[in-house]
Amino acid sequence: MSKNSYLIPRRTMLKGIGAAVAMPMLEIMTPAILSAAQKQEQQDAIRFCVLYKGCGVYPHSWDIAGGTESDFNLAGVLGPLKHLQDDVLVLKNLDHIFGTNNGGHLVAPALCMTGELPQKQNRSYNSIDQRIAEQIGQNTPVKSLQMTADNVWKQHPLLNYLSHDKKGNPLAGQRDPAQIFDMLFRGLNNARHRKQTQSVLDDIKESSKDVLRKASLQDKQTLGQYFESIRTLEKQINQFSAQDDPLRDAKMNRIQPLEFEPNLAGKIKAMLDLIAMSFWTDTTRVVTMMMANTNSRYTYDFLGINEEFHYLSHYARNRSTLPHYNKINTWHTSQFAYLLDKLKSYKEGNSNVLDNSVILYLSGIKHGDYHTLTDIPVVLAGKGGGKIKTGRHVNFPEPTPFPNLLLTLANLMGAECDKIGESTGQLAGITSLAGFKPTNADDGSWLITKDDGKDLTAKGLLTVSDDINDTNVYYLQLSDKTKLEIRLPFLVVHKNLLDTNVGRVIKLDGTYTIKEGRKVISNLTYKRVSNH
Amino acid sequence: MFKHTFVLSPTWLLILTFTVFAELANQCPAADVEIKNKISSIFEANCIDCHNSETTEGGVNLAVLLHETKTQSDDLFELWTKVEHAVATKKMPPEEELEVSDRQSILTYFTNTFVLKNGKPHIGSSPLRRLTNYELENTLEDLLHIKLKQPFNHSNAVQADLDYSKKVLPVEIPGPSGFKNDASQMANSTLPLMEYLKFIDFAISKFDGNESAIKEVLGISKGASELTPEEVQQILKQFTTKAFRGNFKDADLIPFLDVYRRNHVDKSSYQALLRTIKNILLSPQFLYRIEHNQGVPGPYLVQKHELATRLSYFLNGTMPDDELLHAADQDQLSEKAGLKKQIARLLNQPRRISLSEDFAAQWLGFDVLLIDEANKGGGPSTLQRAQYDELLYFFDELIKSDLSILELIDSDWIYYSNINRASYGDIINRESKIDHHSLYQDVLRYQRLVGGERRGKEGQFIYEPPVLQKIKGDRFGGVITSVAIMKITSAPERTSPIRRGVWLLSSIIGETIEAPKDVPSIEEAIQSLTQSENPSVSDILRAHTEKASCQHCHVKIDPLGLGLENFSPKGKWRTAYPNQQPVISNGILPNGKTFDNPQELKRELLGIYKEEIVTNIVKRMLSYSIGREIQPCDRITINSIVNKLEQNNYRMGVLIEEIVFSQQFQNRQENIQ
Repeated sequence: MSKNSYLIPRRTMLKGIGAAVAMPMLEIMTPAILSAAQKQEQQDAIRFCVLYKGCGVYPHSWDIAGGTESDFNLAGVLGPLKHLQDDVLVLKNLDHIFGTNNGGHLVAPALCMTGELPQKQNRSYNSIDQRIAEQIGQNTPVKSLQMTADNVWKQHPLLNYLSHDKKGNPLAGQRDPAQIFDMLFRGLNNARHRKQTQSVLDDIKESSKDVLRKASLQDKQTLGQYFESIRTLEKQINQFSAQDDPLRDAKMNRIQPLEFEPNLAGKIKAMLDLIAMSFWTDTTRVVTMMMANTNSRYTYDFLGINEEFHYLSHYARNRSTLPHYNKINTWHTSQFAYLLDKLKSYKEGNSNVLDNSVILYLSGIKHGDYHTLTDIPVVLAGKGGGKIKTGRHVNFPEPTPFPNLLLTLANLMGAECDKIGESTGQLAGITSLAGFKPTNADDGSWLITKDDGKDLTAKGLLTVSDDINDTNVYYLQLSDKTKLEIRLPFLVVHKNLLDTNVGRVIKLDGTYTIKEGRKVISNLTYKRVSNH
Repeated sequence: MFKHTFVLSPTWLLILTFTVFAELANQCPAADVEIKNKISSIFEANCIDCHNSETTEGGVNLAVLLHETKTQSDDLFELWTKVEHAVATKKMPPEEELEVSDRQSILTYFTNTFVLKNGKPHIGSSPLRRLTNYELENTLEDLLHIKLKQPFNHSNAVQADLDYSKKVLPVEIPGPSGFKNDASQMANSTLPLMEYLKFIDFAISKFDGNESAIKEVLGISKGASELTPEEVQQILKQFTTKAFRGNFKDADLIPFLDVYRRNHVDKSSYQALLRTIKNILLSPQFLYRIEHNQGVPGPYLVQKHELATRLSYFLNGTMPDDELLHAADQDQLSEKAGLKKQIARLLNQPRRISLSEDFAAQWLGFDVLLIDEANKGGGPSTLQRAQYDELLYFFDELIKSDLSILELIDSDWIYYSNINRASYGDIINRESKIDHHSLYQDVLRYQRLVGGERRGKEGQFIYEPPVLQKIKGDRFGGVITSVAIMKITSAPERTSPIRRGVWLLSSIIGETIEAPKDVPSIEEAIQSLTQSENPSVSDILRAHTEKASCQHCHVKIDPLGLGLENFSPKGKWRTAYPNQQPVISNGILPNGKTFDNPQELKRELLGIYKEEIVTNIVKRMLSYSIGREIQPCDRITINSIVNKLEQNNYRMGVLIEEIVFSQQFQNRQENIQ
């Protein structure tokens, strides 16, 4: 290793990133040093990041109860964002309209990044980050960065990827923070190393000229990746050279080798630090990161949990997993909050890096057990250079296609496209107040309309018992503020996927018995009712 | 085709037979239309009630096949493969069987359309293969005479350190074949050039610090005086010939001599040589196994050095050695006897461990034991390493001693690690000892190869590799009930009967299991099977399997897994759950037979599923050897190898030889549309 001075020993490498958080981040450049052009460039630089966690959420711990668009209470799984309420935009009711449940966890990451189901020979299968990187990543040393903290899930390769390039090929996430640090802040940042690398590339190009000529047609296609990788690296070298400016040098000098704990928590924290530092130094403007895949077998032992995350996410059959499931989900949110705090601490002109970024935090499915693809859990953060109006909770009318969010953000980031996946148009309510009517407002029609002493028909708001020890208990909230108790055998709940409609208005036909003077529904059929 | 007369195996007889039939079928296109109409009417009469565009039972809609015109599209092909499988195995229709002639019509149509091409057998296209990380590391070690793998650090305090390759090269994701060497997967992922650069730099720095390696590879010493151009040419020619695995002509050297000259301007001969070597190792001719293109579709035989290369990477996971290249030069590989001799030689040396390390570990899934699950940044714990080694050496024993592949299902011996003894209890059969004195020596040789380190410094433990033991009782033996498999099919603190059932069905019996499109999916219930929780196991299973479409798979999966409940999540035998409830472990096989213990399960598997199991093993190994997913066109070869195995006591050696003799392995075919 001594021969490669640009490599840093693993254990000493990221030493100090952690310390940098505690220390208030100084704005190291005095405005005088900045040229007008640099100032402009800095202001124009908007960054884009997708932070993904698999395995969905417990909807009733994620959803925001009550409130209005601008006045709402962040609690439960979203609790760690409370102090950042003015910096975030919580989006509710965005659906993948073509499917509610079908095989959600297999395709979820790809689906929420491309807005469509993967199909063979699908040329439009291009993820949002890559579309944006084509636009804003060209002039930074690293066009885009993909990271994942989870292990490879071998049985279903698609689970492992967020990013897909123009050809629809998946881009694997890098897994080792030490290597990523090296790539971003050492390696090609060194002019001597750039020169050496370029000279090797020159030699390779020269000596491999003949290979393509002799290759068969199909081999040529495969060898294309070899020559593509040379071009990519050359471009990176050029971009790193172009970044030789006093502003960036001063920032780079402040980046010290730091240490990180080599467990999952340490790795995730290090990766979030890398996002923040690479945005600050303008080393890259586009990052995707997966904290957990949708089949994550990690046990979060540092939280005192010894069961696998994915197992815990299947709580509907076994609610005793809920406390741990919520604990992990809340921890994930706290990691998101950590990233936002960190970005906020980096000043940039009169603003900060967070304000000049768009951070998309999401899980590809909503309901952890049923893998629903409706009402995707998503929080936007950062003002995108002033374009996004944060500090709101937007309750979209049903149904609003999730891919419309991708289209809106891509356009907002400067990527020119009029359709992403299954998108149907722009999303209102991102850049300005949405002013949508509350989706589940009581219009006075939540009533029992038929009751023959045994069977009843009723309309109302479906809610779930807060008591996680009392499994499979739901309520139908009526206009007169009373609640009908719904206590079903496991199989009936399971068959009806009742949990997926909690928080929505339904109309049900049920059979009931009287217990302790209350009507208790023990079997039912139901359908969702639009409130608009 | 006459070129192949040297290997007139049953494969070829079968192919000839097929060809004759196919030619007949091909002569009358009108019959083609007729057959299509006939199939449509069979579908309409027997299948369409459930599999139409509205019901799409099991996600299958046959309406699209009724009036199809293009048979070759990917989607239709996938659908057809499902249909053919269901019909051939008589799974469909579920109640009334098809008329024999109707079934035959469907199967014949499939064969003519998908197995054969223009009425002739073929081998699909031969993809260009890039070295996997594993192959790259092995090849660099052999080419440069250096060690890149870390010795296994056996210590309770310090985690084993990772190989540099594992630190610096991106994690590979297996492709459709289930293996990392899947060429289509590698072709569709980014080539990590910067990481290759780092890794090759690292390898060269190791080489640079190793006088004897320099002497061995370059024939000079580090401090050698300036070399003459002739000497340089000689050194580089020799090196490049090896690096490009014999696939090399003198003219190919010119660009590398240019590199040398350019770098020699301001560097010493030795330094310029190192720089040129780096260039060679970053060349496509080194990173890819490029094969000569004859400009015709083929199939045609690959050239002799290319066959040597295919053979070496298949059996040893590394570049061909001098002797193999020499044998190729002498045309020995084009004769069955010569090829057999080389196969035997390659399987007789420790490098054959690649078949266990790379092939078996990925196929059976025990490679996950090498992943550091706690994610502490190092390798596996010593216990996990021991459990991994037990299966690794088990599989290797099948190769080394040319045993029956059916011993994978059941054997009266295992590799037993002292470190893992707590899992076993008293199972060693001390009366019937295997003389493993000589075997132990062999194991020690592996140690170096697989990165083990036996000698510790003072005060350190010494890692003892597992040893071959005769066993008594019916609990262990074979891979299914091995500690490694029982562990990897469990969650950390609970067993998962469905995971175990799925593993048995997919890895051993070779059934393709897809998560059903209807909720709830298989994966979910895998997670939810715990013993002491509400709702009960049978509740969940009922919830999960009450739909007919679930039943179809779960009637097979669940009872299989439930029959292994006597093995704890850590693979240890148990008769009670942690909550003191007794373990009830009676499984039911898909045909309704029950079993009360692992021995009965294994016996029944070998009775009912022998052919499926053998076919599955053949498919997996063939797939690994040719770097692509199995396709319908491979059927003729697969059936022929299965027949060969039946006639030869299912010997591992026969399996390996027959794969090497197969048309798929020996030939190349360009993509034909």
